[in-house]
Amino acid sequence: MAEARVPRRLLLAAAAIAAVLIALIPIGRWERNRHASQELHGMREIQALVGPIDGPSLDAYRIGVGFGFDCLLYRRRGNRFALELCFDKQGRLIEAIDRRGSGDPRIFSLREDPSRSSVRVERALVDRMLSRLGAPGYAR
Amino acid sequence: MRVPAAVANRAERALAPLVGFTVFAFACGSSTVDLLELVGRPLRWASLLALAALATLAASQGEAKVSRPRPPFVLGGALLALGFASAAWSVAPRLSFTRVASLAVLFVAAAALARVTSARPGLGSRLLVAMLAAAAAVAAAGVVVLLIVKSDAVQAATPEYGARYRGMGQNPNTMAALLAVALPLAAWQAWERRGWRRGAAVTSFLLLDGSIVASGSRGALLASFVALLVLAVAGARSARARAVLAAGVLALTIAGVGLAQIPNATTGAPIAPPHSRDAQKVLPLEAEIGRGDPSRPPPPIRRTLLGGSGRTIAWKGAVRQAADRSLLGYGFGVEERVFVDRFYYFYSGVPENSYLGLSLQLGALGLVLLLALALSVLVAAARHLRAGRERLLVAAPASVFVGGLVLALTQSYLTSVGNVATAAVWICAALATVLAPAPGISAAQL
Repeated sequence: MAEARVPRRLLLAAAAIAAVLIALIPIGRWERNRHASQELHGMREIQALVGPIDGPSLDAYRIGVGFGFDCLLYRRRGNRFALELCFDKQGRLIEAIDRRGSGDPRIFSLREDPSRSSVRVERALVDRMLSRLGAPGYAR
Repeated sequence: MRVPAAVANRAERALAPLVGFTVFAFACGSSTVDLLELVGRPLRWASLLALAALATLAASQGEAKVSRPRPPFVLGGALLALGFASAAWSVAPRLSFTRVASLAVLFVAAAALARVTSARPGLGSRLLVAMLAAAAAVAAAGVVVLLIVKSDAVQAATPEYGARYRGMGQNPNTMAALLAVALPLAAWQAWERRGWRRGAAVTSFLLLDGSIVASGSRGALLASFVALLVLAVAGARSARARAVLAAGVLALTIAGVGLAQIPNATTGAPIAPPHSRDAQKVLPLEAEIGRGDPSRPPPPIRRTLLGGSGRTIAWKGAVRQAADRSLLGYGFGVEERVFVDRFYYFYSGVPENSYLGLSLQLGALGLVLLLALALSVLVAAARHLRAGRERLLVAAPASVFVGGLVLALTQSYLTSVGNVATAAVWICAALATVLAPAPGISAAQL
């Protein structure tokens, strides 16, 4: 009798664990989506502060950083690196940084999961800006 | 499935050498020597799979004595289950799946070794000695590398650090991690053995401790101190012996810390950043926070006994990232992909704290499961120690595990199976657990 009870208990425990795990999946996905929308909201805010990405305040660049993305940096007052937008090769905005304050910069990023970014620009435009700044590999 | 007794017995005899070989193979996979790394990288996974298979085969022979699963194994299973489920919300589902699968293989191997050992406590001792032998071989290989190619074995002095010994490891912290958790095994053997075996154990102890001190790895020094202290306090039978041994461990650690401070860092005047349109040359993304005004020369970085590694500020950054997906995290095994080092005083692709690393991977739920698992292992070991049987035999793996938990405060490794110390720490955790009397097992059966 005792031998028969153990497998039944184990089965019940396994079923309970499976049920909990299945219940966790929508929660995990909800957290993922909430985080992505928060980061996207911040990135859009900084993109709006920048204005057109080919604007006259464009002053510096980064290429091939992180997992291979490129960034454009914009001057505000005396700060050459005040605002920064980073794009992946598909033109998705995956990171935005605001350094206008005196403390740590405000950073919004989806670099760990670029596919979640719904903010896109024409990648050719980014390449033209990199070319204008004389970035190696993009210079005319 | 039952297998013939002869087959299971042969499998059991191969376990101790295979455990030692596996620990050594993982060390080779993290080596600075190209040839060792080339061979070690595939070999470590092959040997781990072989270990899991053989241990399971050997375990299948024994009678099922346990009436219900023990808490550490239930919690280990729950952690794995959460890890597998996390592939559903991970930022890199395939990576999460493969990483948690590798941890599952390690846990299966450790659990099967534990099951075999519970029926044959003598095997536990052999497994621990095999792990010690592997660690001693790693330390000895480091000395050989030092003699042949000094530049491979010693990391040159920088403005932050003096020269640091790394032996055959990729960096000074790599091998030191394994040697730190193995040090109490050398102390245990030196304590318990007589004759030439004691001599070999003392030699191993000096080799391991000397390598840790020369590495200047503060996390390894702290972990080995706590591990030795646990062994001394748990293994000694009288209060006086405990006090004497604890004082000895403290004196040894103070001497080691003092010696580790001797190498001098290089000096160099800070260089003003160039005026460049390439922002990465002026204000690198990976060294921005804490840098100060980018138009001024960068502030000097000086490592001291208790500070200067930049871990504190990096940990704050990791906590902020973990808070963004606080309950279930970003997915198992994605710590390196998610953590972004933006900190001037910090240099690593991971937060160098296993608990924060797991919070990033599996959120608060994963961290709670890991802590509960660790606690359940310690409770099981403490129960056996209170029973007073084979104190040293259970104190030895328990001290390795405690050392591993302390090491996890300064290194991200506890759930990364590819790390040099992970297999040894979890196998010791499982051994410490089964040596405790379980429900349904009498003292006579043990």
